[in-house]
Amino acid sequence: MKKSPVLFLLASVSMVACIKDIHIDSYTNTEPVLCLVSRMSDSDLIHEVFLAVSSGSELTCPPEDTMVELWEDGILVAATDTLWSESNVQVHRVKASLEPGAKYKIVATAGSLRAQATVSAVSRYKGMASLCDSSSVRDFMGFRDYDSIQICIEDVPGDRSYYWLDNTVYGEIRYMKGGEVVDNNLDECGNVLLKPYIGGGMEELLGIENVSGEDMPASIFSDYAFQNGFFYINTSFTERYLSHYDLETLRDNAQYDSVCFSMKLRIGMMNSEDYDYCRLRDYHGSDLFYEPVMLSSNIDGGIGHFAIVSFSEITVPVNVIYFE
Amino acid sequence: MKKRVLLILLIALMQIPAHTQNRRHTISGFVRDSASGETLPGAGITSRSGITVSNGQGFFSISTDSERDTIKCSYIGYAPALLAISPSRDTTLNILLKAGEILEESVVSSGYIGRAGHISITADEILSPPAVFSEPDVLKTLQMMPGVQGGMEGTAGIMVRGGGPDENLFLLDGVPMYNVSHMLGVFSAFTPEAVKKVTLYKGAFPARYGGRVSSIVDIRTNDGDLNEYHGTLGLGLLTSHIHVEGPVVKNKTTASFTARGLNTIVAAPFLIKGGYNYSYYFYDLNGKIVHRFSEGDNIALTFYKCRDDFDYLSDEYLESTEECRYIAQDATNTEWGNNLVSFKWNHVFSPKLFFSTSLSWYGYKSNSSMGKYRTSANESTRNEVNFRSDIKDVILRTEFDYMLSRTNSLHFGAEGTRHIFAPSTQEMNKVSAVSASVADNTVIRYDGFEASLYAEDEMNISDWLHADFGMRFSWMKTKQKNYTFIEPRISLVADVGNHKSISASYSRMSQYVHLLSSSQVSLPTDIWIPITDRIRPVISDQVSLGVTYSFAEWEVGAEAYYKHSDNILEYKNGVSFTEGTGDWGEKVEMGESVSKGIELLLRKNIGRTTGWMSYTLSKTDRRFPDGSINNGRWFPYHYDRRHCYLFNVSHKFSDALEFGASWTFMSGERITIPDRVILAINNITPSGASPADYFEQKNNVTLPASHHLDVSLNWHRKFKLGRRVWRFSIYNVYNKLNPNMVSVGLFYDEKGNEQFKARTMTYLPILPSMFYTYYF
Repeated sequence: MKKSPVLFLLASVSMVACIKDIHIDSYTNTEPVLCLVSRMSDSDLIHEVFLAVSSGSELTCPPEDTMVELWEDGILVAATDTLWSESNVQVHRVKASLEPGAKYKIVATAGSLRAQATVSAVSRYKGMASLCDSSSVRDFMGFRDYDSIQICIEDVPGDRSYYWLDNTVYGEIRYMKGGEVVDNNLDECGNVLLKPYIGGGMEELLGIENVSGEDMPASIFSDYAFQNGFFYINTSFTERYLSHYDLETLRDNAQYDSVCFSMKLRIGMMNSEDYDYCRLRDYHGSDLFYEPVMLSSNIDGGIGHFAIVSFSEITVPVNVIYFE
Repeated sequence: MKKRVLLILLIALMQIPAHTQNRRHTISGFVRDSASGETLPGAGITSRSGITVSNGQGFFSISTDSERDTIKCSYIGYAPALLAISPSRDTTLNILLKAGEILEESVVSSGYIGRAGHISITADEILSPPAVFSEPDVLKTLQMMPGVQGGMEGTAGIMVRGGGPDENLFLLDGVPMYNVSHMLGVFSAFTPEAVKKVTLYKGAFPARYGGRVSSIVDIRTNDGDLNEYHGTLGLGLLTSHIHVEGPVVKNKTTASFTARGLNTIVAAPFLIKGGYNYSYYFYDLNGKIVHRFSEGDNIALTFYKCRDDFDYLSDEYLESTEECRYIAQDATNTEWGNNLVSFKWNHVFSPKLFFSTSLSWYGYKSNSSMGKYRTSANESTRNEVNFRSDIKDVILRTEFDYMLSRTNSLHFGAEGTRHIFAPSTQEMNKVSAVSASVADNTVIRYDGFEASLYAEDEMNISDWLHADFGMRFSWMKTKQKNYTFIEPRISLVADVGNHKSISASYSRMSQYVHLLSSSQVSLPTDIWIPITDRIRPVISDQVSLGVTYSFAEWEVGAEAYYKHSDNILEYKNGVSFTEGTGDWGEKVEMGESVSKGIELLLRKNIGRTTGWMSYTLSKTDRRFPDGSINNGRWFPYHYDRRHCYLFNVSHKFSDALEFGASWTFMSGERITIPDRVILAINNITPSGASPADYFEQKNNVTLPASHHLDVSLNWHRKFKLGRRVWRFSIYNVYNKLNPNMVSVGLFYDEKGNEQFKARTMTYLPILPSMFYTYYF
């Protein structure tokens, strides 16, 4: 928003400007290098490792006999279980149960190319999450929206911590009338159909855009985002999210008079290296003043990124909200 | 190191008693223009016993031991004066120099003219070189000096000896200014007609200056003619100006007033109403009133105001919701500008003691508002967001010049500045026909107090060795932390005879404010912010060694320098300045910078043909040890231009015709280009991967060099009531499309294939222009 006047000014300048393209030799480093990227989770048993061979502007699939091995304290704990190719990327599936706090080494061998990295799985989140505030019923374009439902996440004392708030797990939203559940946000199989929006405080995220959204359902933040020891999450929902979406009927028949939540949060802990990588990966600016982002690499003998996120799942009950 | 400096200073001061025992007289007074009575700062004055230079108010004080002596006074662009004196006591002597009649004697070095790291430019030198749109500019003239370069071609910003654009202190009559440009930097904020003299200090910094680490640009404005009214009226393709000066009370009170504006200022109020989407204008107002109670006692009131204003109003469009249909319109207004008021009192207590004190107020404000007007059958609303940035400084400064002995002149003083920075204020308003409300208001404000004490001893250690020993103590108090620094300054000039001199200097400088900017162009969103507990002051140490040689009408200079700066700022990897100021401390990183270079200058100030040639060979590297930028390794600065040639010549065919030409060549700036494509992990759950660009070194490619030839022809004609000058210029004669802005990325070629290219935008192709000036 703030850059608008700047862009208008620049647009004025560009009206009288001549455009010229200069050919610049780019992607000149054609020496083949093995790229390895993987972010594993201690809550999953199956992990994916992505491999490709980089040469100048080309990404090619490594040979089919490429192997990925995962070692814990010198013991081989997993190796390539399944592999397949997607476009120019080779995906290796490995099965391993990861322990928070343990150190893991990943090794990929593709012909004469070899890449490896060692990282520690960070300890899990040991803090608490609870409901801080819930209020406000507002009318928005004919719909009733219920917002300002605030959940607080407690900071972990000690060294600086880095958090991954996963938005893919949602709790149940129950619409009540006279104490009875008349509707919810689950389908017949119990899957969450209607997802309340979850967002962190944008300004507090060290200038990092909140990556919450349909394409990138996660928020990444550090201790700096905490205020007085708490990180605040604002959620909201609207009656438009109701499964059968029969708004008029619901209203006419006054089918519900209250709503209550059971909010599930999935909080991951990551190391500073992974946090920085996420931040850089998210900084793909499109305006004129961004410079190309220099991605970091923690892979020896190759280029890429290997990380392990330790997840905890916390259920936060939300008070019943009564409507007038 | 500090102990050694103090020791040298002590040894130097111990020489004072020996000299003070001699019987001598003091000659003091002002150096003035003979026609206008305007004081001339920086004039060189020599006697048999010593050398000095007139101060910022044109005052000098020099000793003589002998009963008969000759005072020699020289000033660039003026005929030198030789005055035989037989003083029997302390004497007041006002030296009147005549402009224009330059004799060969003027090349006699005063010993100060050749001082390394200092460049003085007079008003005439600003007006003479060919210029973009035939519009002379103070800072663009400085860009033609060795060691100085501009950012984007055609803009007025300067970068000195590898420093950033925020490392230059611009003083307008002694008052620091933060924003010094108009129109994305195409014009500097200084109207040439209002300027008397500009002095650039890029090394060997006198102790009286501080606050920035790369350069000091000291701009002195006209006091006004003591004897008669005169002025200029200028009409150009882009701007027009009027300048008037003269005596309000003859020989007592003078006034000088200059106004300049973009020509659109006349039409701007009607452009939007007339259906245009854009309107833009700027103006400057300079004024100065000086009242002389006596020859050695005067007060001066300086004021300055400038403003840029940009408006945008979109075409009307339809917007509908389920309930209503609206006619909507987007509107943007951005305005920014400086205000400055300064009151100064100069007093000569005795021939040996000059006193000056000033109280100044400076304010910078930028205000951007973006809004949407919505009109329906039932209501009319306006939703708007305002962003404001404010700087307010109140400055109290007192300084003394005291001639301690025949060989020692002391300059000492103190300065205190109250800073108020409000870099980001946000308001959200919703205004309807029946109500107005402020929905949100966010103010970020930083207060600070900066103070400094300085003392400087200008010494003639022997007939051939002159020295400046200075010490500056600076202190900055912020909300969280106090910072103090001691800044030693040493400058030595050895006159090795036959108009040759060798100079050496060491300066330590500190800087307590930073600029968050794109550094390519000057924008109203550029934001100055003070240091905090985390963002520490910039500290710079510079050593330089130079030689000068004057022969016939020529002056040759060569200087080598090495500069190391700590705590310089740069945006972290991938961060853009357009993201605003929230948590700005987290977006930038502190590092170090090393600049080294050699500067050569060949200059001819006398004769029908004048001009200069300069060459700079320089290298600037930066490093950010925390690893957030370039993985903590050294990398070349964005403006690390290895070679810089500048050639400027002016030839007077007759009193009516004057030809000028200048050629500039600069190595290209550095940009970052990907080395290879790699695989990168996505920030999603479950994780995925996609191709991404990768490079191992920041600023790994040098863009092609830029160069342009500019020519001008000035046609003078005298009339009964004055004279006029037509200035015809052609900028970029051979139409070299040098990059003004560069964006790097994948672009489609003519065949529709994607290719990685640097796309440059040039808004300065061949540009013929003219400017009419009438002198009355």
